[in-house]
Amino acid sequence: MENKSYKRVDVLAKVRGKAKYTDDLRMEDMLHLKVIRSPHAHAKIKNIDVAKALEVPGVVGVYTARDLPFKQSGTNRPVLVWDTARYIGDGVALVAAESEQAATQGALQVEVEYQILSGIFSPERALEVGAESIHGESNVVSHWTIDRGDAQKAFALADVVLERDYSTQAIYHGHMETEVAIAEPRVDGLNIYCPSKLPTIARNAVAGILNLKQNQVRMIQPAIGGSFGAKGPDAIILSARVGLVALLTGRPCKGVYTREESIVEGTKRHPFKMHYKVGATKDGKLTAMDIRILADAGAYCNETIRVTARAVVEATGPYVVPNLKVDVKGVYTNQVNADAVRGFGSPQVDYASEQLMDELADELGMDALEIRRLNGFKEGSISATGQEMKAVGLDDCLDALDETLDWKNRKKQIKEDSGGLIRKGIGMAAMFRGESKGSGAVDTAGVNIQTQPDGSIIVYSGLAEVGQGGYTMLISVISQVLGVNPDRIHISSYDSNYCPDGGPTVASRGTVTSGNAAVLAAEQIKEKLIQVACEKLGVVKEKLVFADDKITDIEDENSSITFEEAVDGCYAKGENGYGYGWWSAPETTWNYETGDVSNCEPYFSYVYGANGAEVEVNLATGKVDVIKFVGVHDVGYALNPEEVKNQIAGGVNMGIGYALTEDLKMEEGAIQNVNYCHYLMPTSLDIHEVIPVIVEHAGPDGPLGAKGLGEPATSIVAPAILNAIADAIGCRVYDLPASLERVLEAVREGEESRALNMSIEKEKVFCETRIGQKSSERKGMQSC
Amino acid sequence: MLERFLQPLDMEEACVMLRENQGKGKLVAGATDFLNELHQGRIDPDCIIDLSKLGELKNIGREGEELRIGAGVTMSELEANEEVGRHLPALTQAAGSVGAKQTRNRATIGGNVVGASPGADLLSALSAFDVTLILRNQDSNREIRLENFILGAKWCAIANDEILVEVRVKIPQEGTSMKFRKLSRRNAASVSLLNITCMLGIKDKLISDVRLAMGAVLPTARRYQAAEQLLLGKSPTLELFYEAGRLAKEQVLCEADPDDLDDLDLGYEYKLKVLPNLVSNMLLEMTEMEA
Repeated sequence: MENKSYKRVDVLAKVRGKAKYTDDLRMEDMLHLKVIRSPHAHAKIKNIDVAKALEVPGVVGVYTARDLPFKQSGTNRPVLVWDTARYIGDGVALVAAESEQAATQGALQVEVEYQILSGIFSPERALEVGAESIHGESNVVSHWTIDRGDAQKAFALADVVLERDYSTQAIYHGHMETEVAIAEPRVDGLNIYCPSKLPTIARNAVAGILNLKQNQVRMIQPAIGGSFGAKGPDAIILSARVGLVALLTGRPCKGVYTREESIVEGTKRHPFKMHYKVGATKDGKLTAMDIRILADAGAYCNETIRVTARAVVEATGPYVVPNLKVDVKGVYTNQVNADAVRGFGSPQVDYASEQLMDELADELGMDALEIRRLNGFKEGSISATGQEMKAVGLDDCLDALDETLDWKNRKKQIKEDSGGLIRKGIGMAAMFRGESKGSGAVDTAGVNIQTQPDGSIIVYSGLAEVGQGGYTMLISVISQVLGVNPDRIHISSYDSNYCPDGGPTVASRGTVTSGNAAVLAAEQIKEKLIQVACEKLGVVKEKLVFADDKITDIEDENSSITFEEAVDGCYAKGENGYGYGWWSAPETTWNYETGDVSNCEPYFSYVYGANGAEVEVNLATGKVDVIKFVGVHDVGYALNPEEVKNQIAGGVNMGIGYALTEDLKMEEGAIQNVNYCHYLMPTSLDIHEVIPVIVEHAGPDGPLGAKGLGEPATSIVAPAILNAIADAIGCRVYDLPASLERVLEAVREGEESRALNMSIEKEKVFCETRIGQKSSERKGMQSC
Repeated sequence: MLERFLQPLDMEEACVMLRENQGKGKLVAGATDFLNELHQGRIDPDCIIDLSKLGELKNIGREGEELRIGAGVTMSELEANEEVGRHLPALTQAAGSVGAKQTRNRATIGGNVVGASPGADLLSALSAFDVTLILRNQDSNREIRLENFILGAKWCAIANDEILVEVRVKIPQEGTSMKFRKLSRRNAASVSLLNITCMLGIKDKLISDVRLAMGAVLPTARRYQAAEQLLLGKSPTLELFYEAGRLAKEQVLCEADPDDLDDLDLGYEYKLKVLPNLVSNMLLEMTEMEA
């Protein structure tokens, strides 16, 4: 039976237009911010002349990095560059004005003198001897390796060895609300209104940058219009920019980016270049892999260290590979800064490993699902980093996919449905993914639950609701632990003055971390109420059941007190109805010293999934339509099944964009498609049937067994689609996205190789016909 | 810097305003192209004259053998109009394929024609028909054939005191079939990589009438006469249609600026690959033949 679904707590305000987003907020005397950005990919700033800008009516001030309390150091993207711009879009100066128009006019009048430096526009170039150094040392941001068993020997002994190259592109998050922040000065500090995925981290960072104490910055989170991994560094930088203006002028200041500004300056998904070599026995058992990956970090470090850490752990896909070499480097270039985009290194390596598995299966004449069953992680399997895998849900996911697609039959039948110009194909992909931050990071969250004397409940959480349904998740958890109606619970939106730190909404960690903290907090309240109930009902605590807004004696359903009575009893004793939960994730390990992570436990838990796609490919144009998509995900325990299904569907939509149309085209570091007219995300007409399937293989660490889903939902959509395209046209696309041009090219290659096969086939048919004729002659049959 | 926004309530007033602001008054109707240009900083008009309140530009009606469509008719209105659907289904399809619904609710046929974008969906469809445009200034009306009006990419023969008021389309003969098809990177809200309109009449198993027009290939949407001439009077066959596709491609190669052919942004490499097949497939579909 499916679990109970909960209505999203934020839905009514949003669909009625009542939700207040940051750009809806107005303040008296408010200034408006515009950013002057470097038009050069790499340049020294010789001089900034602000005189003309200051003459523009309405302009109040022009500010540069020299106006910040400190010179920012390190390799993360600064609020404003000190003397060197490292990509097109790097912030150089700020203009504050009475109106947005005046700020825009003022920004046009700021004269920046640049000395143009040579730029680096590919990770390969960045590694060449003599390449310009982007941050004063090596261009290598991060370097992780795995060396297990003896790959070289295993390749020599393998029955089949395949080598393939894959590449993936930079993509944009596509959050509907662009980056925005308002800073409001107080006598003793600042209030900042900013939609971000990491409000407490942003508060701390802004305080540091502006030389304030953390309790002097009050970060308030209005409704947010999407994140998908964005609104991390960009939110911090914009908050600090408006904060700086507010401190210097004593007036509130708002900054909001246009779509073009958001695309030019904001972070993107890391483009990967990947070389995979795999060895296997003729029965399809993997014996060795050698994987080499270059990730383009762009101009600054930010999350590249952990993105590449995830990539090295998950590079093999969810398979046992006894002999393994992996080498992953993150490299600086003078391109747009890469950071988190829903998936954080997983979609790139999944794209490669899952296409490779299909090609290996083809090579061996095996079924794609079977080769994954054969090699996939089982309970106790050893991972690439030598970790013993527990609570492995892969086979459950593969079985569910098999059943939902009717895989074997459909694979045969789809060829019969195919004809003329439209070719159909079916493909699949499988995944595992480390939960939460991992790689040794501190990973914690707090939740504060305050039951009011009338039995209503207010929750203070540091979890950023970015549209993923985090608040509703908290309600689901708390109402289940306390046995109360969800309508009783109100979630206070984030305010750093009242809410405990919940960490960032990243790494699909919200449910596990804040959900667990909510369980701990609710358990504390439960303890307090149990004491009241024990006294009133005269039973021992083990016999009490919390359900239906009551606390009941398990042996006598007529012996109960209502939740209100229990809370009232609690306050009557001079106690309170409060609970505070702080959850800290189990320890994980990583080797930051040498970068060799062959023996690490990088994540405390893993999630599993299997996706399948049916596509139609137009042979004349290369146009692909994903006519059916099945997303199977092991979520441990579905806290809110409707939300789970929608999150899977949303992930599929995003993955279809990654697979087919989304592509930030860069020329010498300049993004060519800077708005939605040219950056093409799928529309509702590009999404056909999507079937989300929930698998519940309870995890040991999540609240009520739940696991994270945000990023897994999109991680293997692209390879499932690319495998289906290959099935449809008999030829493969190796570079993302599978654009019209690339698919058409593959169609042509497929036709050429088919023509070659056909001529061989004709020979065969000719021979067989002659044999056939002979046999029919023998039987005395007439041929017509 | 924008200083004046004028909104005439009838044609008379509009013409006067246009003349008074000669050279500076920028005409807009749906403003869908205009706003884009403005936000991109490609234009910087002093004065806007908004034609969206002119009810007289909103009519669609039959007049003898002509369908007369007011320049202010929106894509959505065009798409929903029964008369257009009955006589010019390709125009209905083209109107329905433009941008997103919000764009179609504002964008007008007049704007699409005067914009003269190489990939304008309506221009591809209209090019397949006999179309006369009615232009008006303060003193008089003027008629001009569509093919004489469109001079190049985003370039048309309109004087800066003139307003396009009507698009007159000759209704094709009964029994003529027609189709509009658009190739784009996604299924909605996307510009055409190539759009193609075909009109076909068949009598006694022979092709008695044929029009083939394409947009988004050459700088202007236009007919492909070599292919049309090949088809005319012949019996429809697979080979004939393939040959028509090949001839259409030839025409592009002949007429395109040789420098353009190498311009990756214009996408000629891909377009030339798919164009012959699109033409032949369209003809096959219209004659219900299998590839």
